[in-house]
Amino acid sequence: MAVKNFETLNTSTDITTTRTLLHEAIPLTGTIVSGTYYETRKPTGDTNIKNYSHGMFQSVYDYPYLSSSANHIFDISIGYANSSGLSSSANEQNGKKINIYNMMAQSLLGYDVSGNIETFESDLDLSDNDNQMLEVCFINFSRLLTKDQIKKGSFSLQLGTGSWASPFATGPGYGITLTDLSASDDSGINPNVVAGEYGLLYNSPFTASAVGAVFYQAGVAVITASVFSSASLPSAYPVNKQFLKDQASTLYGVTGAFKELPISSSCDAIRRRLYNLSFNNTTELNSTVYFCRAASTNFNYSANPTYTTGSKLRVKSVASDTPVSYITTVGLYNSNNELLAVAKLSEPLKKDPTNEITLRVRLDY
Amino acid sequence: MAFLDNSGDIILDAVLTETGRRRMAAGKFKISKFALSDDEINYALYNKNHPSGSTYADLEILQTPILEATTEVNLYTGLLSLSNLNILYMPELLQNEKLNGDAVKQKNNTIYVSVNSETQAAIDTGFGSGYNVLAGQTGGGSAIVLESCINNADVSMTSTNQDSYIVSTNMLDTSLSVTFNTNFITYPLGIASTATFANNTDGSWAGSIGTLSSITSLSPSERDDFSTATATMVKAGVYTQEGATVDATAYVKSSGIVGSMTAINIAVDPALTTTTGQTADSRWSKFGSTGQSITSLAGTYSTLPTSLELMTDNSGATLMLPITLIKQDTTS
Repeated sequence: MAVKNFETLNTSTDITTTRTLLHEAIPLTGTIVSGTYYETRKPTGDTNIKNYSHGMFQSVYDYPYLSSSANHIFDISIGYANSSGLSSSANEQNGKKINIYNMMAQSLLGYDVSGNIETFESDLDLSDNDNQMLEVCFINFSRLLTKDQIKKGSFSLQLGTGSWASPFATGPGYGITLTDLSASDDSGINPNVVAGEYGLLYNSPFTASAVGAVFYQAGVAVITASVFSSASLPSAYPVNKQFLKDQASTLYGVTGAFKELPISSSCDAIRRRLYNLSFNNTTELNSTVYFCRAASTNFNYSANPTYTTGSKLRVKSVASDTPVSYITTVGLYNSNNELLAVAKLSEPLKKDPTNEITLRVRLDY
Repeated sequence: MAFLDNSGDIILDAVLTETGRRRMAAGKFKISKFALSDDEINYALYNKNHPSGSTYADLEILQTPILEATTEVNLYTGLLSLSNLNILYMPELLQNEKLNGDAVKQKNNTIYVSVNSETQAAIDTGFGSGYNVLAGQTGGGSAIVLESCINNADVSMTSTNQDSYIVSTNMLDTSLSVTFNTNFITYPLGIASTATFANNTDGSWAGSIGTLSSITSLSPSERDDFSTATATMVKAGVYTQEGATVDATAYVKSSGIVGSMTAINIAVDPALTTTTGQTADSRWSKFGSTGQSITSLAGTYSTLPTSLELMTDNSGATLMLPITLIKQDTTS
């Protein structure tokens, strides 16, 4: 049934637009990433980890990935630059490790003035080619988690740096926390890369210099492999030689793992050492707010068939009684009387000539 | 479609309709006006004589749970902006079944619209005349007659009451919007402004519907596959006449004064008008029923239920009129 009475919205006073940033806390515990869905009878162990035949990265789900209930939460991979000292044609998946590094670098950083692919650096100045991170781990978060971007200054990643058998052993230096606490909307970031903005990840208090970068809009964390080596940790720490243990029970340091084992093995080791990961995501809401103003003299009667009985208003006894109606729904129309949006009130709102009501209908995009 | 949480502050739950999404996809999403509705409200719950006092009259109404907004919706019961705050009676829209020869009567709780003369003849034979209209017929048969009226005997059928209860309150209807399903109905037909609905001082009928004409100026409705046309309504002159032998209630359904009246018919898609022996359009089987036996009618029939949504211009009176398109399939 068509509606008889409309009120025109004044475009200068009744319609306004707003931009709101919504943040959600995203806590990921290490047990989700490694352990919770471990099945010994499965060749790959964790049933929420998807490996691919190409072997270039692993996908991590929050539930066994064959289930329709599973959500993809992030991908993990490693790589090194062609100029890395680790690069060697004799390495396992050497080409793929270089390809991953280059692909991520060109997608996140872009190219230098000579057209060469940039190199990841643990500082905010890409032009000087110092503090280069030539061997790195990548954690690529799903848009499901990051939404529009990771909130600057909210990223925190706890990694265990104990032995393979006890990655989270307690003691000074066992376990590092990488954060981007120095980053904010207007400082501590490099906004001049192709993927948007990145901030630096610090392993405070053990290192004064950064050990990684987080790309906020792309939702990617890049961590130098040296966090698992003596360069940033006391040399006595077992991670130096026990970064991972393969199926033959051979122990590898991070250098050996990057060189001699496939990408998926290093991914397994990193997952095993992931203790906690958290950040706040950001959703940008662009809203149009329509102020629907019901003046005192308007909308006091109803075309509702129950409004009358025998043509007499149910809400009146005599003609001089105040008419009353109850608002439950707002319809927003275009000039052709097409109903474009509907808003429902959570409870009926009494309308009579003694009051004026402004209903604020917000549509988010 | 769940209920909205009404335990705290009043919130607004807003969604784009299907139409809104399509307009947005086409880059033509521009909201320019709003309307208010009270869809879930049952005013029968308004208790003017609440034992705790008039403050509690709307206690139950205010506790009405409200459903979530959905994308395929319509505002069925719009709120009205009437400047006169002293209105006690509001016109209703009724289907008139009393104007012999002019007004079609409902049968089986519907108005049968015969899609061809063969079917009309069969129905006239079975039900008697006046129980169906012939689609597209402009005159010489029954039409759907409607009256906008104060359906209350307290407001007697006098010219004075018509002026004071309807005309002076700006609720004399001059047009009727007819919303219909364009899958079956092509356009409605309506009266000319010269049509009359009146009785003489001796009580006899003085009205003349005249010839109906096609209303082909259509506007899109709020919903897909529906269009709206505007039909003319004319001020009625049906009054109680002193000493008359025929009471005015013989001509109108209303118990009280009638404000305006009109008569309409509908034209259907020509593809639906096939006669017995011809191949019927697939819409009969897709949207309706075929090969039905109907009590009192010889042969079998295809029927296709639809409705006309009617609303008057000034009083906002509404009526959902059940329509059944009918076609004879076999004669025996």
